[in-house]
Amino acid sequence: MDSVLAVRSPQVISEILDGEAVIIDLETGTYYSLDPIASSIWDAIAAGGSTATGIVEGIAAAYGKGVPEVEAALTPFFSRLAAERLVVTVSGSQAALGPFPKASANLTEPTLSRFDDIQDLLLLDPIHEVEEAGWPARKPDPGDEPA
Amino acid sequence: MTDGGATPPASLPETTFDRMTDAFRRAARAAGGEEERAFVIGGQQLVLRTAGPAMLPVLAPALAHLVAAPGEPAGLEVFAWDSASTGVELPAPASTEDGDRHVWQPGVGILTVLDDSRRRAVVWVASAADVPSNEVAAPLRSFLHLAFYELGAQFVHAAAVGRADGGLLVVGRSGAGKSTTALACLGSPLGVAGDDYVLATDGPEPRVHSLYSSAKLEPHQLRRFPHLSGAVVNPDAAGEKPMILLCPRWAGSVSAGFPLRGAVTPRVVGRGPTRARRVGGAALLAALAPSTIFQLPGTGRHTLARIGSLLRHLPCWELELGENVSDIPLALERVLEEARP
Repeated sequence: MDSVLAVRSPQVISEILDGEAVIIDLETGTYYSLDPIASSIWDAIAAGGSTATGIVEGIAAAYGKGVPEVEAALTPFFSRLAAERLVVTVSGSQAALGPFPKASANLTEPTLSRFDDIQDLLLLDPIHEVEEAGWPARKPDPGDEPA
Repeated sequence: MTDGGATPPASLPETTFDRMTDAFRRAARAAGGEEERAFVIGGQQLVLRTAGPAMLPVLAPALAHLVAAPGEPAGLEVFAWDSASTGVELPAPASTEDGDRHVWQPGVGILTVLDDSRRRAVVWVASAADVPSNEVAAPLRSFLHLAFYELGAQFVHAAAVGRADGGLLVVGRSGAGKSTTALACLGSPLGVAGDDYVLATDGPEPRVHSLYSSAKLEPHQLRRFPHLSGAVVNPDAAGEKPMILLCPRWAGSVSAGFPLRGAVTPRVVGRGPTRARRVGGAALLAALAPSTIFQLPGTGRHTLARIGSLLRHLPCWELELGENVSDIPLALERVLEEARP
């Protein structure tokens, strides 16, 4: 049994548009944009059943590079995904991988850009779904049930 | 003010929504009756009922361009009251699971309770007089977001400008120039469907529907539009953005909506000409989706997917805002020409 990478769902959501991923952490308000190579890796993680080793081997094959070279290029990115709490590892085995997509002509270190501007917005005008807990403070009303 | 002759019910209603409507009715009796206004938003007849007149200046001005004749069946219905003018306090929520949704904005003190159909909502504030102008600029956001979500339309944090035969969604992070882009179009051949929030529908013919005929600007942006400074409705409100109501003065420049031909994301350069260049949709998705999702309650994953789908159907441009705001409508018209199907 190996360690499979998985998106930290449901707190982390993502969408890929024109080959570039946007990731949103619903817990913190932080969001991220990924370059095409990082996005192709994210896509493999989001599909499920990918180990870091499997992704490295897939990219090495796609770009005609050696595994050690690709591992050196990708390890900081995997570490960053974990440090930002975007992915978790779960036990499982590498699923059968098809050919890894070649997201750009040359292999470069994948990049992830982080944006924190939404957090200011959340502080300024927070919005909550509430039940009894969190209900606004209220004065007694004639419609209240007798104590 | 007291609760007047309004009597509480013999037994408490079972759902929070029913408790809220019961309180609303008591508030209306205490205030001398209901006021009713009708609007057409996104093709839906919205009937707004307020307990007395106090909530009308909070909820109605930004919807002035969408006023409809009363008497049509309500597709959407809102009941609103405040405690200060009616003496009727907020009831306790029901403790059972009832399918209602309760959205609380503690920063501005607005509670919105929707029933399980999401077509009806009760809105409460402690005092209508204390609602900030920035809420008056974009009222009922939580309700309209959740109601139209069920109807397949997406509330988005974006401006929109265009003609009856086609227009552009204008997306950007706070301060990127959405309002500048929209307000530059006042008096131009391009109508303004919104400066901060609009409703968008996806599909083979994506459309934008106007929600609010209001605009908010940073004080430094107002200097670029000196002719608007006399129209600021909150000149003395500390800590709030200057807010402008476009109706009736600029009613001719307000659009109820149009087919979407593309999306632009402005970037303030401040020198040289205003010009557009094609970009991929991901930058616009990053500019639009997070600020939409976090300003609205509870549909994050689906909202992201919907916005992604919408942008997938639209060509995208970055609009570099140059020295003169008067160049902006012309640059947008060139984009629309390029986007013509």
